[in-house]
Amino acid sequence: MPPAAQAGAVLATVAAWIVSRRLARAAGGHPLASPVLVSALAIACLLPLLGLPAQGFAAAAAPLSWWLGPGVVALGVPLAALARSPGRRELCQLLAILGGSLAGVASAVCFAHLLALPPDLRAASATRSVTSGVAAVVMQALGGPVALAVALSVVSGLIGALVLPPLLSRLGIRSDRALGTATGLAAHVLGTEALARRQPGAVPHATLAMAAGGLLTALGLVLAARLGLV
Amino acid sequence: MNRHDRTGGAARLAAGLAAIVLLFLAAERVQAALGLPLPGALLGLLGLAGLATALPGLGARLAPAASLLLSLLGLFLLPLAVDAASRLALMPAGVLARLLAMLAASTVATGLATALLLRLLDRVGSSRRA
Repeated sequence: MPPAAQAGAVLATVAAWIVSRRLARAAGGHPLASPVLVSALAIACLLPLLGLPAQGFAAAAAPLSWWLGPGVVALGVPLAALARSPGRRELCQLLAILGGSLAGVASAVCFAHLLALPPDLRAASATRSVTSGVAAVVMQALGGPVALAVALSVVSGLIGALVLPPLLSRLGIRSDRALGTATGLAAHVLGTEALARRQPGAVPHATLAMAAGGLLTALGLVLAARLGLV
Repeated sequence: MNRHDRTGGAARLAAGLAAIVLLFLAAERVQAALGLPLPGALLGLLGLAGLATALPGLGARLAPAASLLLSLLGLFLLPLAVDAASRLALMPAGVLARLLAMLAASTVATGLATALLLRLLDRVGSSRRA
């Protein structure tokens, strides 16, 4: 890949990100104005107009995607906060995250089969319930469809950010801990972003659930792949 | 905040970023050398969680760099999201509708299961204490 093309793709991505963040702020942080969604749609719409393939763009902007690795490593810091204070409440939270992670993988795989989705989408659905960075590295390790896994994770985050906080509030689940844990686990980065505006006290719990859920799901899937179960 | 504080803060942030990147690269090397099934990034996550638990001071020093990286996760996955958006746009409408139904059902099921399980565990815990 020529360095000029790489530099152009990275600059375009960063510029789209900065503009879409400003738009998200102007839209009062509505989940549909998510910077990831708006930037991705804007770039995906512009590329055909410029006669450029989307796959080529992803390869050109790979220096940015490389940072997903250190980004996933950084999830270790909120995880350490849980490990440092292992009380009864933290143990309950960890068990709920484990149960939620199992529900996430099981429900995605079951619904994908029930709705007769094509094989590549069924394979990508296994990592739907983890944040996109973890989904990408796990799917790479499993040799599955990385781009589809990321797509499913992003769309799940968007749906979760839109639906979960109001739904859980209606069901009387309003505490920072419960709302943050459930939204962070099911809706990852986008859900956590939505909570930051709606209920900031829930954000540390959401980050913790995103990190612990991602780790537990990834370990489970890698182990299941070794045993030939997925 | 004066200029000296800002310079010191930026230096600490840069040092934290460098430490996390080095940990990631080391984890990738270890994973490749030992042929471990776990991806290098997850191995690094476990390593950082272990280090930050054992050495809380180190965890506190790395926290600003970790927060910065976590806040930029959306930017880092944007090239893959562009690829994903173009793939979804090419899907037949029927498949796309079923895919969205699956994602909505699974996301809501995950969130509800987590919240209700946490509520149940908290109630069991508090009734045992009583």
